[in-house]
Amino acid sequence: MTTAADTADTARAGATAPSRLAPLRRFARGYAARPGGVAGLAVLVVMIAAALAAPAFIHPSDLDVINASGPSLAPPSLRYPLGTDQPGRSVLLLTIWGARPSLAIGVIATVCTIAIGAVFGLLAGHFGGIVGRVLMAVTDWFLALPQIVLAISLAAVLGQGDASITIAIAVTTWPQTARIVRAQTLAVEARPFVERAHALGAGHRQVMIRQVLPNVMPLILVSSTLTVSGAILTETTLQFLGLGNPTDVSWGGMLNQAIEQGAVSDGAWWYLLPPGIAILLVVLGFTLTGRAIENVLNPRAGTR
Amino acid sequence: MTGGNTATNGNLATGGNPATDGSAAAGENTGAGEKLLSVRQLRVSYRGETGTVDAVRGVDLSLEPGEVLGLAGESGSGKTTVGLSLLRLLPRSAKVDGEITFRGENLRAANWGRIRAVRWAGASVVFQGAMSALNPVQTIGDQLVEPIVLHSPATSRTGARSQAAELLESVGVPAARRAAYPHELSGGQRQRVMIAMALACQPDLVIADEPTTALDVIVQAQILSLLAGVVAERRIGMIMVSHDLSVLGATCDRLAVMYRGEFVEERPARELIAAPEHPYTKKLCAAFPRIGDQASRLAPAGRSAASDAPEASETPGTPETPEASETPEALGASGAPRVPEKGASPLLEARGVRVTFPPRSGRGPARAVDDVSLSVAPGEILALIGESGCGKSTLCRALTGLVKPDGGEIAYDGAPVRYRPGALKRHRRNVQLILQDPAGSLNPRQTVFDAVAEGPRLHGLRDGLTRRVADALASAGLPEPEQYFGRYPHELSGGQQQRVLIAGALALEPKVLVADEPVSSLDASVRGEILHLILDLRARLSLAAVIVSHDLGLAWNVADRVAVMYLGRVVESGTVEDVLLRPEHPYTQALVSVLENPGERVPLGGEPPDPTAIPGGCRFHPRCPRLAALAASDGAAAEAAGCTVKDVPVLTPTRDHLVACHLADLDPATG
Repeated sequence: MTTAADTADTARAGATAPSRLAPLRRFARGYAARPGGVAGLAVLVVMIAAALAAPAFIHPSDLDVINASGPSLAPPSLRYPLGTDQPGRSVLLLTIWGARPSLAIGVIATVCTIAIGAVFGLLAGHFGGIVGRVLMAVTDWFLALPQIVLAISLAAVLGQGDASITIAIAVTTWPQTARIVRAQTLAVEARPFVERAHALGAGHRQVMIRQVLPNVMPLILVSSTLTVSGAILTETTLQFLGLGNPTDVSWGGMLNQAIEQGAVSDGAWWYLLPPGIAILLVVLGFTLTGRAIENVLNPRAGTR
Repeated sequence: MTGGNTATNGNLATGGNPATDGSAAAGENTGAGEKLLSVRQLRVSYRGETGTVDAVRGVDLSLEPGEVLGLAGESGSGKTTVGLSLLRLLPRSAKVDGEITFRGENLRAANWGRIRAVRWAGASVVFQGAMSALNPVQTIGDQLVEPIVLHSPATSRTGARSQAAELLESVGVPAARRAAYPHELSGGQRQRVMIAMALACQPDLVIADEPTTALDVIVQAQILSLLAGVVAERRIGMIMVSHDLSVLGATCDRLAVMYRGEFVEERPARELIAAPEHPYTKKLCAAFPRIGDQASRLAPAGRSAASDAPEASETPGTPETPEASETPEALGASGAPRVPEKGASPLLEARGVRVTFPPRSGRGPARAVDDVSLSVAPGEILALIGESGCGKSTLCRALTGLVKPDGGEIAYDGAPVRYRPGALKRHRRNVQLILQDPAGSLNPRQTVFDAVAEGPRLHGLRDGLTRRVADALASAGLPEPEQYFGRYPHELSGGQQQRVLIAGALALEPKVLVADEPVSSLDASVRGEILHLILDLRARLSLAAVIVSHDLGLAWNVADRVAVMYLGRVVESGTVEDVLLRPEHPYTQALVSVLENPGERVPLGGEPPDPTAIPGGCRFHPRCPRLAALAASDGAAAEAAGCTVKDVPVLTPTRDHLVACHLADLDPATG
């Protein structure tokens, strides 16, 4: 909805005014003052960098069960810092590679969740009455869907794999986001600037996009970082239950195989701990980041 | 909260400090009586993220039993901080220094247990905003019993309950209401309960923090006379904190004016209000207009927009430049009345408008606006006056097309408004709304530029948008508008925020401004500036305005005509001079008398009316003092007048003086 003339105007306006980046800089300063958030962000940056760079130092043959060259279930050594699994693959490499599906599914599912949830919540909050009630009824219906049962049924229909896991997560988590967004929308709509926008001649779309959305956005941002950690946990659970593609390497899948291949009875802690700790770290990273963002955006929530 | 925005630069009144003289004088006539409270060199500073802020800088005060001391000042002057520091009610970030002696006891040195014993039983507080100060999930009876039992454990619960009932009766709330929850009471009743709670443990000192702010003028008068009565009867000392000099002048013996954490003037209240000495006090006094004072007619106190310095609203009444508020040029520039000629065709009209809200939670439908007709001509300013709940804000929204009337019509330039999106949008280009709360009316995530450009963008006026925004801001009295473009609302003062909102309306080049309480949340010195701006816009752009307010003084300051609303109807209308100087309707008379001497006499009993239960006949008859007087002297005549059965005629306001009252001819004041 921004035209060229509009942008030019805004640019000119910005030229005479204090930098438009000022709020961003203020946010960065506030965030830097929260050690928990910085630590969480650091963990995430390392994890994501490792996951993205993984193809550069991990060859597909390293992960291949058939071509595995190492000893079976060997404890950590110099050659295999985190030991090996039963076919003889390096647990370190498996753990790094396993970050890829976890992060990908977590992020994609969250994007879907937020998109659906925000649209439903915004519409239900803005249009009260019949429209709002119908939208919320739909939301409540989805809220009642059992996640794991749905994922198992989807795997049966669509086949095992990342797609059914992503869909299962997205379909069952968006109602929470919708509820949060709707509550915030109602609160924002009660404020006088929304009435002012109506008095200036704004219609539904303009009020929702230009007035309400910018004020709901911080909440959506916080909610999405927390949703990611939830989604990753669910993804691991579903992989562990064997709903993923069995030939892919993932943290949940590793735990599944570790149990099946008798890591517990053999005392092969090096096979169980790395994926578990990786899950813990990534979830903690997202949660700490989310909390820090929340506290910076809403300082009052931070001190309690 | 308080003192947060006290600026840190040392722009203070120097030289002779009347505060010390005043308290010395008060100290002399102490005579036999022991001082109830004495405060020496009180200093309070708040630690904030940006450093410490000195909210109170060396205040001395003393109080005797039965005496009422008023603390006046604008927001950020430190007046509430002084009041609350006495009982250590300030947040942890506050650092208090100085000497506080209460009944001969040093409260600064007292331990927590002692302070807790003194709180309520020795000195209690009447807080501002009774709705949030009362516990919403407890009945008011229980809330009254609690402190009684806590502070005198000897009292049984039953005894405490009967004490609570007596207390409620003594403040004018029926004892039967003690089982009510706070939300079931009206605003005035809640404030009465707050006063009863403050008196529950028979304290020697009551600190009243803005006890009547947010109440209607008539209820305010009732509460003030109640407080004055309580103080006189029980011989307790009271410190009353308020921004409203007229409230303080009516109830206080002595008055201290605070500015930036210091007393700038402290004298007997009447003397101070009649002849303020300090320039800041002068300015504050001038902000509360007297009806009938020709100097303030169409000339609100404060600087005019033309001579406005950019930071004017941030440094209210800098004592060094007191003349700015009194220069005749400043008044003349925007004060020149441009009264439109009689018979000019109306620009915006309401014709028999009715707005009814659907029933909610067991209460019948609310007839908020019930058959109201009015009109404004180009360049004319109409003031719409009434108490809360009289339907004035709803009428505002109907005029701007935000509420669709379910009877009658709104007409612009002779043509009725149609409620289709396109037609409404056209109507809103011509008729713009200014809301009550400037801080809330700006989107916190929009810059000033975007806030002002919002309207033009919605109406597709994208050519020369920057020019348009800059012009609008300049018109609204913000010189060098470019410097404001990138700022966010929280970086502006209240007056600047209201100017940005007015600029946002002006950017659409409307012909009529509809303003709902445009200055009620602003400080006294800023109030004048905004009213000046409205007069200025009328003079330059021939902009008409409908200004809704509870404040008759505002009508006196800016309006050409007045319409007084009561329970959804206009009860009296005419030119400002006719209505305010020679009010004929008993309701208008009550409003005017409250403004002239608040707290002296309660002109009307009862509560602000409820639009879900409109009485039959003349809707004012249950509260009408004229009918009561007539019924007392001549019952048959009162019966014959038919006030209780016959509806009064509906007025169609013009410039003539119209009154909707069966007993208008019997007015003892005019007859």
